[in-house]
Amino acid sequence: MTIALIDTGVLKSVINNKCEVRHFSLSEGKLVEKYIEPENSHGTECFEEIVSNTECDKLQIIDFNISEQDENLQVWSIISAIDKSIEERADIINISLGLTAYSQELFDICEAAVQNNIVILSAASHTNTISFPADFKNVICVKVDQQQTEKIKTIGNMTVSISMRDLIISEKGNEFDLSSSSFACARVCGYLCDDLSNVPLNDKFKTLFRKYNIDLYNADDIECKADLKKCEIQQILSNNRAAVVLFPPNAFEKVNKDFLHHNIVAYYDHEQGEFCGFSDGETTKDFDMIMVLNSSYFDLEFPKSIKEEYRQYKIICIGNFLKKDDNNFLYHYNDFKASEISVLEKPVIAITSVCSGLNKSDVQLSLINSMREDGLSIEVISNNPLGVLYNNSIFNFPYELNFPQIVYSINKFMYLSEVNKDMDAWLINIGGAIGQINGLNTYNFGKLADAYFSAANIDVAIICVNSYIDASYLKLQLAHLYKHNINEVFIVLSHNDIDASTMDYKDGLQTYCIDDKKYDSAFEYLKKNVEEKVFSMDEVRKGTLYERIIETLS
Amino acid sequence: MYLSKIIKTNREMYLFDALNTSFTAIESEDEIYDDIKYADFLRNSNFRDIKQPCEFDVKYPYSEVELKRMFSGGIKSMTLALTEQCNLRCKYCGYTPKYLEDNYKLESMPKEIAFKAIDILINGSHESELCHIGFYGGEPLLNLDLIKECVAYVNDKYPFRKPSYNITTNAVLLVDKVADFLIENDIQIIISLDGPQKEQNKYRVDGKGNSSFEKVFQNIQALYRKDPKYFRENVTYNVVMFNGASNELFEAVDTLWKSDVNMIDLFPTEYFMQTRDRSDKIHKDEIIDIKNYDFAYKNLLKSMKKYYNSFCESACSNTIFPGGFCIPGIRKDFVTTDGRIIVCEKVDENQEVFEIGDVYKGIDINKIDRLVNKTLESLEKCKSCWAAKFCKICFKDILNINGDFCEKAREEVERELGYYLDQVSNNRGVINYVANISLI
Repeated sequence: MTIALIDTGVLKSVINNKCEVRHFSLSEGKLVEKYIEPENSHGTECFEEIVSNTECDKLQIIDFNISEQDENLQVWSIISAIDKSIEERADIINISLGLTAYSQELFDICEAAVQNNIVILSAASHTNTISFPADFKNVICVKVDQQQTEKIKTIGNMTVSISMRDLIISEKGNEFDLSSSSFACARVCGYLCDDLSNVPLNDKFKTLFRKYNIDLYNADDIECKADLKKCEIQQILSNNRAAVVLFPPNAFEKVNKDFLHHNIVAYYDHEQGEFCGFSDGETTKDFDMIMVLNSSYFDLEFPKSIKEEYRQYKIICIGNFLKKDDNNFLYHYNDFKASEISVLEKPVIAITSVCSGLNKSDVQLSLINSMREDGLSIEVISNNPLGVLYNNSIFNFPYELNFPQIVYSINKFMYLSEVNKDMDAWLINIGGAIGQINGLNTYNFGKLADAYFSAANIDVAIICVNSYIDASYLKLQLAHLYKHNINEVFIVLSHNDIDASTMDYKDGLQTYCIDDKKYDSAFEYLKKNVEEKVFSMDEVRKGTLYERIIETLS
Repeated sequence: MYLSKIIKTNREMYLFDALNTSFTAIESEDEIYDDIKYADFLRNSNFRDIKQPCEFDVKYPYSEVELKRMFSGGIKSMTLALTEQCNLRCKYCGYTPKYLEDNYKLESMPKEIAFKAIDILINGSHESELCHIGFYGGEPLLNLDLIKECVAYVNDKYPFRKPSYNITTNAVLLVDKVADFLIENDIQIIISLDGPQKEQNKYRVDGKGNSSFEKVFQNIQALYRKDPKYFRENVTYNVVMFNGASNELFEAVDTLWKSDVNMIDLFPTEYFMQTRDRSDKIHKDEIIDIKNYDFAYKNLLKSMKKYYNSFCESACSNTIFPGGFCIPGIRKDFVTTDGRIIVCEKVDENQEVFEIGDVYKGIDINKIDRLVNKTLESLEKCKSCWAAKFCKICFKDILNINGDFCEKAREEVERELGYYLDQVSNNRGVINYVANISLI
């Protein structure tokens, strides 16, 4: 059995005649057969994990040391190593490394390996998001599940998990779990050596299917339908004239009537307790349905009194509501199934933020206004219910994010939109935030942003930050964006800062609007301390951010 | 030593730097007090030279403009004193002098005042996740009709927004029909109960001196039997520790069904100190192993959150606002029967400085300013106090800060900080629990 170990290199001194090892390393930008002393122990540890978990006596390891001097991982070096593995007729390729950005070239070379009867094993994301090549449909993704009793458990078609309880160390009553998907991947590689070494002439994938039910390619993208269905709320709005009730009530002040959906004709005046026409402000009941749109984080009561008074109207509640949930009328990420990434052609502008309440929607609205005034056809994605007003594509904020499916779903939706619509660019307002603010909300904060960053090549990212953000913390967040290959990042300084007394809220932080003096000093601080271009909210409103984006894209 | 403290625990000795919120373990006090050893200590560690003079800059964090903006959308809570009347005459109660005064007329809140207070809250809370109405007294159930009118008013006038409600009651009137109404409207109940029969009946008595435990406990049991799920999710107890903390009391409280219990230190009113039972045995030196009592251990870990947050904070500044002050006008507004808005229900409402507005004109920024200035004045000594960041001082204390107050506050911080350093900071399981406490 020949195993290609694509990693950070195997230390010669630990080999001890355990098996035959050939070494390849990066030299002057090329992969050549040469031993370079590894600087990182990761590859050596994976090697030890493989050899100690197989009884295969004719084991040969091809050690690909693809670590760069700065410990960065380059996609081309993985591609070269896989290419070389094919040339060397490897049986299994072990890649306990990964990238968050999708690469078509990497996918293609994995495909070529599979066509050559090579099994590729790769470690699942350490952050439970996405990792390539592990999340390709032609690669077996390996995870750790310390609860499982089976030696190897198959999850879905392409993922396996093992338990590594031997790596749980107990010290002074505290338990430290030293396992990782990297080591799990290498261990599974060892196990599979035994399974596959006895059947050298057979299709390895058939063996894996029969023994472990691993079924690469049994994916859900076989359907070739390329039509994009409108979500239910869009369908309803195309045939019904609607009156809207907006929450928070002051959201009405920001509505741009010029770009409203043509069938949204009236709004609820909270003070008068009546509906008024958008065109003339007069009291009206000339509409077919009522839509209550709540963009707040708190749950609203669905009012019995309104229900009784407007008994004859259909009433739809979008957003957070007590005992009523019509969010199924929105798009759902799960509706778009795929297992491979399609290439997107239109430029993508993404808006994200470091926490909730930092004017993301204001930035989005300002950009929509500028773009539409310039005659650009913009496709807008958002999780904010108020986007319904402007016929945006609104996705229900999911209760659960399943990686990698969510990435494929987002990509599929965008692909279908590009195919079916005459559009110039994407403007995406990503729900949640870019990273974790406190330890309580890992789910709402960051994961959805990660999914969007992997699903689309973001051309310009706008990050809205709170006024008193610490520059070093912001730099960490920016590094996260750059890790996803986002080249141009603009910072927008929100006029809001985090209300410290809500730092320990689990459902989202609250912000408050700071005064101009503090804002100006925060703006100066940020300009001095970060390299990226920083925009004030005023500059956003005046269109300076928009001009800079257009300049970048053109 | 400036803004620093040696913390001794049963296990270790630590040097705590309040300015940078950091600590290090030390072998002995000599490391600090002996000049040669101290020089070594500084050389071998990255610790700040705590013998160099420094002090905190005590500053109020919000400007007038910011506060005004908050009042227009960020108000979180309004507690209504529905009546000054009460069906008990608890001997430590702050209202007792009023009850004893023949000429003092115990007022009830007119519904117009209650409705105006509700208007201020709901119109000013559209950007706030919390929108809370509290019913308070005297004994609020003596004015049950007004509670019902308030709930109906909200449902009618503000059909979309459903505030959360709570009521603080002695539970004497918490009979079947009242319980039905509270359950139907999701009103959380905070029951004032001092523990088992002996404790409860000692000071929580009616005007004739009759005990209250029997009736109260009967009502609590009936409420539990009526809807155990509601009980578990919506009932908490306030326990006044008039004899201090003791194993006996904690044991009794711990066996109560439902574990959320607020243990409240006695506020010794002049009247109570004159009339209290001389045979009261204050359990000052009794050792209590908090871990034995679920409710108490949870409360303790909750109190560790501020230490966790502070040690985890990346940026440190010498500008602080000590204590646990809430933003006046936002979190704790308390409306008296005559419509004055007081900064919170715990302060002495007769002190003008705590008045921050009224239901007719809303929150008055000038009165807020007066309160903030008075507070800053009283916090002058915090500039040089190593415990200032963690002190529990709040508005209710600003008129009573003296050496004794500060000494007790520092002792408490020293005890808590010692516990954090010894028992929390190096225990992954506990630190994880503390990190995940949501303080909403």
